[in-house]
Amino acid sequence: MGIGNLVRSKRFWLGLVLVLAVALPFLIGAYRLQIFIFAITYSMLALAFRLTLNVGLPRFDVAAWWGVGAYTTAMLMLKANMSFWLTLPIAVVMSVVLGYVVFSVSIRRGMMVFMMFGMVFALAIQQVLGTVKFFGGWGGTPALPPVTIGSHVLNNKMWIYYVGLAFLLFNVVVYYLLFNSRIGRAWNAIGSGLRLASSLGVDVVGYRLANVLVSNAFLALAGSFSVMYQAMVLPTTYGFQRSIYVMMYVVLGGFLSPLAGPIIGAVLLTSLSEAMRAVQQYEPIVTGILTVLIIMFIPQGLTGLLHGRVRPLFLRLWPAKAGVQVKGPAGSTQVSGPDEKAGG
Amino acid sequence: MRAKQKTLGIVACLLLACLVVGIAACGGSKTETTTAPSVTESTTGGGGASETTATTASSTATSATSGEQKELKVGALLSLDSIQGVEMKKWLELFAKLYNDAGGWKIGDATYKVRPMFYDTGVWDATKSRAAVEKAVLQDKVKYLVCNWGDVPAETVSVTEPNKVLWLGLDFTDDTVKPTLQYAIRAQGLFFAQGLFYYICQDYIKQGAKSVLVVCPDTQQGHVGAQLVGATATTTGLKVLDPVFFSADTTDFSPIATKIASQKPDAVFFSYVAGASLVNAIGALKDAGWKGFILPGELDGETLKNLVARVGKEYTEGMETGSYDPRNVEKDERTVKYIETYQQLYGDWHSEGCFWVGPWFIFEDAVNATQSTDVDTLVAYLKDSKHGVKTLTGYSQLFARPDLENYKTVDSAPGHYIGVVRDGKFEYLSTIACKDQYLSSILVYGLKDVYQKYWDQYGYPTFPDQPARLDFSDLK
Amino acid sequence: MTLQLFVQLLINGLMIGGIYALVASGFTLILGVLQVFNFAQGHFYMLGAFIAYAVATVMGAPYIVAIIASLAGMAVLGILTYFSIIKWTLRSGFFHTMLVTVAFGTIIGQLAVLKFGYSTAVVAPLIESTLQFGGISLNPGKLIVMAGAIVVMVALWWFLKTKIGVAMMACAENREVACLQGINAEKVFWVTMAVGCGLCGIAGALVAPVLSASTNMGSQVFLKAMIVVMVGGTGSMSGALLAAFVVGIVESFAFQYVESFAPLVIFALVALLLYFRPGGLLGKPLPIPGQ
Repeated sequence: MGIGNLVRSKRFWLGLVLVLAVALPFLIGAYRLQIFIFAITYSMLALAFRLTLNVGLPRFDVAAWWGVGAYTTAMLMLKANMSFWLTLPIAVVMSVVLGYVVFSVSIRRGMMVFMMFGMVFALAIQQVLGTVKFFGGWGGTPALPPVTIGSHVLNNKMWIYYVGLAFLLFNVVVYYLLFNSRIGRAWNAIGSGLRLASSLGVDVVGYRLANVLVSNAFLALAGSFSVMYQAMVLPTTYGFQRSIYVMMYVVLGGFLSPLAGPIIGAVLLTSLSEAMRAVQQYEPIVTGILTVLIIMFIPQGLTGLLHGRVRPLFLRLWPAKAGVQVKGPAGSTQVSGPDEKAGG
Repeated sequence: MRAKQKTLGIVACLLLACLVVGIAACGGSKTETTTAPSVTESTTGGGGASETTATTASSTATSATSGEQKELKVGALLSLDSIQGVEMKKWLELFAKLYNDAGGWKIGDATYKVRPMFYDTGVWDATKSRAAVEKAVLQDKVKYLVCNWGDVPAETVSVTEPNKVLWLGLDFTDDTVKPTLQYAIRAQGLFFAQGLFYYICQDYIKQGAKSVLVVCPDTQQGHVGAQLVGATATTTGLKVLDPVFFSADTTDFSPIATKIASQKPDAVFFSYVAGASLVNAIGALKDAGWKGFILPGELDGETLKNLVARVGKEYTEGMETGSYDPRNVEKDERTVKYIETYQQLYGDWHSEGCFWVGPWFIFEDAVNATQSTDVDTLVAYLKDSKHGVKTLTGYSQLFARPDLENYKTVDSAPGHYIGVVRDGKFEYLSTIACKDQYLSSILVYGLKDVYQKYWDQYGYPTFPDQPARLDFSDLK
Repeated sequence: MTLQLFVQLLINGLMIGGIYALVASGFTLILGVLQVFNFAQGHFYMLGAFIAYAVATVMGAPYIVAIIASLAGMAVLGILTYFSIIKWTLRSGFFHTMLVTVAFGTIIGQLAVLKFGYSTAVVAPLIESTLQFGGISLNPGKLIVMAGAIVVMVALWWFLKTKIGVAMMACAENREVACLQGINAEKVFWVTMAVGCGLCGIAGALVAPVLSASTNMGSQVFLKAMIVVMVGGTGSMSGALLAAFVVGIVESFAFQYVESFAPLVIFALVALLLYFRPGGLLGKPLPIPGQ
């Protein structure tokens, strides 16, 4: 197989990314690894946000549900001495059940109400977490016991990173499977044309609710994972500001791929944030200006840019050998199409 | 048509940009960090560059022979979003400059160039806190973290302890004085800090106050503050009404003021309320028609000016609260020199940092006394502290916490002053003695018995020579 | 509950309700006519207060000049924002434009913090003394804010009956048909931005003598404006007006009795309202995009 065909192969790029991800702790220092641990959490948040965009529902309560998952895990570990791994399914259930209660009211009222209601809910959640003493108040909880697998204590950054990577992979795989299933197609239909889908008999409210609850479930997982690293929870971490940043990750990454875009955006902006540590006061301004510029001039985001401009360059440089079967990308430029992880 | 629209768009963009630049330029930014000639490097100027200098600098330090100038890296986790953080940074750089200008800090056999290293933490942000302390400890290999503001101490200490880094800082909770911690010392404690409220309650009682209502933000500090102030007020004999909490980002204080006024207290104490919130709150209180004794939380020159503009001089007359301004109060040579140097370097005087840089002096005292930079040596000295240390705002001394079963001296009683507002100006009224901080706090917390047992076993502590209102006999 | 307390709570509620009405109306206008979810609305409100501070306190001009300056300043900023940023993102869709206002708002907010962060921009109260009315003391500053808000709302109502105002409402109802009728959509857009942002500017200027100008005043008010829009019915101007005063009063009384849990009370009420009366209080919303 010539280079041309290799470059065209999605599997090649996917493999490359995976190898890099696994090798990462050996390539960079222990301190820098923490950037990627944060990036993993934020990637999961961005993925969850992007998921609900698929059905035309932008959500501003991403950070709040992230907090719900985190606090569930933290409280169980602290008060009930539960093992971290056992808290995971409970956090997910908590997030989904609570989400059902909240969203069944707002989803049927349409996107606008869903959005605004979400914002108000996020505020209410933060208020509850801070005011009610049981949750530790505004100062947060005391330090949590470290996570263990059997008798092995997980306080090594490298292992936390790998666990995070596993979480992220799980997230991506589940989304990928969902996108390519009947549910995914229904979501697609709703996202592309609400009225059309509805008139065709697609249960818009039902599928939207399912979508948001899946998003919630993974937000809870992201919350639990972040507790593994952070070892304490604080209400202010889960505030509106983080939800805004999540939106910026998604915009930067681009809408072409609902899997690659959010991850790329999250990793890049988290790294940028770290690089700007020295001038932290200016960081929101820079990120803001970057977002504005991207929306104005590159609305399709980085993945869109890569696909639209960089990929043709590659294709021209390394033409495919004639006659060799190569599995190419789906080719669809639809905003909410089910794409694979890495752009070709 | 398209070209015309494009031109319009470009013109609009340029106008917008000009507007923004114009607004930003006129008046000048209030967040100007030090304008002092920076003798020392800080990590707030370009991430990449400072990292390389950090590694080369530390390798110089390790390869230097005795007599050659080594580097003493002192870290501080400060939030530059807050005035206290900015001020503390200025003070630490000033202290370093004075040492370096004089040829360095002579410790033991060697002379050290003092290099303060700052890490911005955001305010009460666990994520940023963690990232900052990891950078300091793991990457920059800092051995001492002295002075902090805005970080989450529980996070910080979780990294400094396993790495044997000395932590001399500020904590609003008791997380950092647990007996299990080896290297953490609360050099700016707030446990032994009830002296302020004790004095002021007594002053107001003398003027006729009988009841008090405490107002705090709905934060961890706020709740702790409300509880402590309430306990102190009860100890002095005031009737304490239910406290009122307000959301930390409140800007409309009318409902809060109405609620306070409806309870009809003689005195209203604001705890952990400062700046814009304080001005708004007191303004709203006046609008709601209440008049009485006010303890206006933290008051600095600028806030007082704004307050007077808002409510007038008469309403502010007689307000007493903590003051951190050593000017015209401390007459000792060293403090006077610090004040003069600050004004030389930075021009305008700000007192917001004076109190919170207490830990620096405790660090300095320990290093000078032991003539060592070794963390274990310093810790041993600090944990067996027997005397007060002169800071910018009086004396500070470390004491043990037998109530937490910590019998080493790990928690400080920080000294400062009380000021009173007269004719729209904030004047010095009295100094809170170390002894009063210590004793009044024990009294307020109801810990007489626990401490008596401790004193019986370890002996009574001695205090700096300052006039005090309380004595051990008051605890019987 | 004494009469004095009741009156004070009522006035507090009406005052802040007036502010919410102004900000929410501006927001609804921009949402309805341009179909832009303007996240920077709160920040414009904050800037309006600071402009009033700059004009009245720093330059020492009479307060009416400060109010006009805020109105003009924010209107101009709104127009500039439209031509430089919003116009080019409209074609990308609702979500993109909303996100651009989020980013823009973040930039303004952080710039304001960097510039004004630590200081309070205090505007001296307009009337020093307290009014006495039948044994109840009233604060004139708050009454002025209330009156000012009502005056502006009346002016807005009148404005919407003018030619350009009607054009705005037509665009909100059905943009394509409006254009077919010969309405210049572009002109309507920037006028709407000017009006929407100008309303925030006036709100900020009105409230500055009572609440002072601080850099975080926008986010709280924006959130409440959102609640007002939900309660009043998205897209309904009269609904927003009614809802604003309802929310203001509920908030005022709730704080007296449940303090920190007041936001939760409001949240619960909004949830209940949405469940039983999805069209909002008045139930006659304008069509809104992307349902």
